[in-house]
Amino acid sequence: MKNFAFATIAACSLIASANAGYSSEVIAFSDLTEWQNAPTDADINLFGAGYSAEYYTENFKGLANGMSVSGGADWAAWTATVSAGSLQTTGTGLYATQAGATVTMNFTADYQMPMGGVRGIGGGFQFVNAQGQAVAGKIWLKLSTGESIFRTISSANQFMGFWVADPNQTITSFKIQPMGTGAAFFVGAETMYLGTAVIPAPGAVALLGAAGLIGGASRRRTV
Amino acid sequence: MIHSSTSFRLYEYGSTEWSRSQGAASPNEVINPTGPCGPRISRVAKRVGSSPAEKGTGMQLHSLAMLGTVGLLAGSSWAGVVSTVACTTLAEWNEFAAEPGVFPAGWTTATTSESFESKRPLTQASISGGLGWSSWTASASAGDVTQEFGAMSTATVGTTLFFNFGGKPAVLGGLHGIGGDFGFIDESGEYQPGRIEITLSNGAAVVQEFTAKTSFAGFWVTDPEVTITGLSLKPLASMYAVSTSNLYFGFAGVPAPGACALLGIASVFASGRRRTSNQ
Repeated sequence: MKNFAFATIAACSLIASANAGYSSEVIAFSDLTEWQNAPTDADINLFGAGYSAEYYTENFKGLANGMSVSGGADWAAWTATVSAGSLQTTGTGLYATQAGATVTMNFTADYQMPMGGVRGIGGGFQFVNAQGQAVAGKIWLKLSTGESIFRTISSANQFMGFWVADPNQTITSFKIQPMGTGAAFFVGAETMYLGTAVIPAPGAVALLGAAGLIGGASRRRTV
Repeated sequence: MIHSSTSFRLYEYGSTEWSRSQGAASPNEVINPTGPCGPRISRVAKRVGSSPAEKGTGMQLHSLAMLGTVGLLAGSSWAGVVSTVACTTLAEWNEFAAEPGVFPAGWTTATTSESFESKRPLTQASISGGLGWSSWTASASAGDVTQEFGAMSTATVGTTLFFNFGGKPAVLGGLHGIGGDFGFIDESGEYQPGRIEITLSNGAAVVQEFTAKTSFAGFWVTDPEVTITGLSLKPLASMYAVSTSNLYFGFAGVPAPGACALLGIASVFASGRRRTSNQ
C-alpha cells in the first residue's frame, strides 16, 4: 500500500514536472527565414520584453587570406582560424585551403551580461572541391555553448544556425568540422549571419526621461 | 536557475584540450571564459526520476554498435564536457551514433523505436509505454493526450506535447539519443504540416518545419553526465494537434554490471562444458 502511494506520488510529480515544460536555451535552425524571424516570433519568445535583434551579414569581400582572417565590427567583430593550412576568401565566401581542416570562428568583442554579445549565428555552409565546385559532405557545426548540428550538405550552401535564448550565455565561437567523406574536401561558408539582442542604452533612457520631464514642465507652464 | 561564479571550461570530447584536462599536464584552452556554469548546472538539476513503464510494448532492438572494452570511468572528472547534437534526418541521427570518439571509450550505443501505428485508441491525462531506458510517459500542457490514427498527439489544439523518459544513473549511461517523426494531425486523423519548437530536458532545442509524415528531428547528448529525461513539442501557430508517429531512442553507456556478470557466468559454463567434453 505504502509502495503504491509512493509510486502514485512519483508519477504525479513526474507529470507535474513535465507540464511545467522545458525552456529552450539554445535553438537550432535549418532555414534562414526561420532564423531571421525567430527574434520577432511571439510563439518562440526568444528574448525578454524590451529587447530586439540586430543583425550583421558577412560576405567575406575584400578580406586578406591567411592562417587567421578577421572582419566585422563592434559586437560582430570576428576572427577565423583553421586547424591546418590557411584560409582563403573567394569574394563570396571563406574556405579552408586544406582538405579536412576545421574552421573556427571566434567572436572577439567584449560583451555585457545579461544579453548583448553574439547571440545568434548562421551561415550557408558547404564543401568545395579543388575546382571550387560545391560538393556533398557531412558537417558538424559546433557552438561554444555545447550545442551542435550534424548534417549532410547535399550540394550548394545550406543554412544552419542557432539563437541563444538563455540571457546568461553568449556565443564566443563556433567550429565547422568536416565529417566522413567531407574530410576529402574544403569546408567553408558562403555567407555568415550574426545576431545580437539590443539593450536600450542607459544614455538613451536618460534622454527619454529628461524629455519627459521637460515636456511635463512645459505642459504645466501652459496650464 | 542556479548561478555560479566558478570558472567553467568547455571541452570537446576527445579533443586535445579535453585530453589535457584529463591529464592536467598544461593549461587548457578556455573556450568560454565567461563561464555559463549556472545554466549547465540547472540542466543537470532538471533530471527527474524514473517514470512508470508499460510492459509488453512492441519495440524492436535495431542495432548494437561500438561494443568495446569497459572504460575506467570511475573517478574521471567529466565536468564541463557538454554537447548536444541536433539532426534533421533519421539517417544522420543513426550515423552520428556510429561516429568514432563521440562517446567515451567502452561505451555501447543501441537504438530502438516506438511506433504508434498499431496502438489501440486511447485518450487520457497521460499514456506510458516502452521498457527500461526507453520507457516513456506522454502528457500535455493542458488536457489529455490521444493515441489514435497511428500517432500520439495532444487532445487539444495549441497545447504542448511532453514526453518524459525513465532516467538511469548518468555515469552508467542511459537515454542519450531521442528523435521522432513529428507533425500535426487534424480531426479526421490526416497528417498536416507545420512548425514545431522541440526542446530537450537540457535546454537544447530546434525550430523546424515538418512537411511530411516522415519528417524527422532528433538529438544526441554526448555529455556522459547528462541523460535525456524529457522532450517537449510546442506547436508554433497551428490549427492542428501536435503529434508524433514514431519515436526513436538511443542508448549510450557502459554495459550494466549485471550484463557483465551474465557474460562471465556464460563463459565459465562454456569452458566447463569444453573441459567435460574433452575428458
